Amino acid sequence: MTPVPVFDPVVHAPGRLQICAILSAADEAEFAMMRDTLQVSDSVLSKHLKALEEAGYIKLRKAAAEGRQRTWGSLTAAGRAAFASHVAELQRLAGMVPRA
Amino acid sequence: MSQDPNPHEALAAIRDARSGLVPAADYPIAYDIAYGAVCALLVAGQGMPQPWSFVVLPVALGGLAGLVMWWRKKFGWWVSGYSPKRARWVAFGLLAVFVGLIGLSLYGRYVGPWWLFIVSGAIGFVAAIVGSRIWLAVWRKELAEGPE
Repeated sequence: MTPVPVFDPVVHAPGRLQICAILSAADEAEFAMMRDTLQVSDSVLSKHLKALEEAGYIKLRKAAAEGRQRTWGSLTAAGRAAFASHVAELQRLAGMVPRA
Repeated sequence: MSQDPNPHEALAAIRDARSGLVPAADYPIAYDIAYGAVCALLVAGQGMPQPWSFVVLPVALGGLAGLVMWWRKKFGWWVSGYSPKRARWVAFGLLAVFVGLIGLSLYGRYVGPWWLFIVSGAIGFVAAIVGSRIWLAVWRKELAEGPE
């Protein structure tokens, strides 16, 4: 089904947009992988993840690996739908705005 | 990227973020061999004489779980073969091949010849490696073509 284009300010913030991009392409991604891909600090990433979690767009879980706690994130159904709608809106707008 | 990206910048940022998912250097050939071996065991095991058909199944499933754990640890992400919109059809195709090969193994076990499980296992080994590489190529193309 084609998503309805809707601009979502929660998703649109640069860091959150890229987190959603990663999580929409994978089932699950680990904190360090997202931090390294986005090239942001732990605290900045945590802030973005918290905002997305509070919006109900992502689910975070802790998993022990080699004696350390690691955080894994995944998009919820609501997050997947919000991201798809936001991307549809970006594409609609991109069709109206010429490239710089 | 600016704090308030225009649509073109935002779409480019999505593509950039996703490019980090696809390992540039690819995964090692040992992963292909291990995955092929696990799939070969899964399809061939059904045609093996008792008690091997029972012994092989948990070994193969354990191997599969080990491969998933290795991947998660190495790359920090996981995607099921059935999740991506286009690449999932490669996974469904591979599943159909495996079901057919399991049928071949069972045919050999109950009708004969007894060695059919070796043939189905060998085909399963090659099909798993070729299929997973095709899946990766389709998934990469899917990620590169659009941010949907």
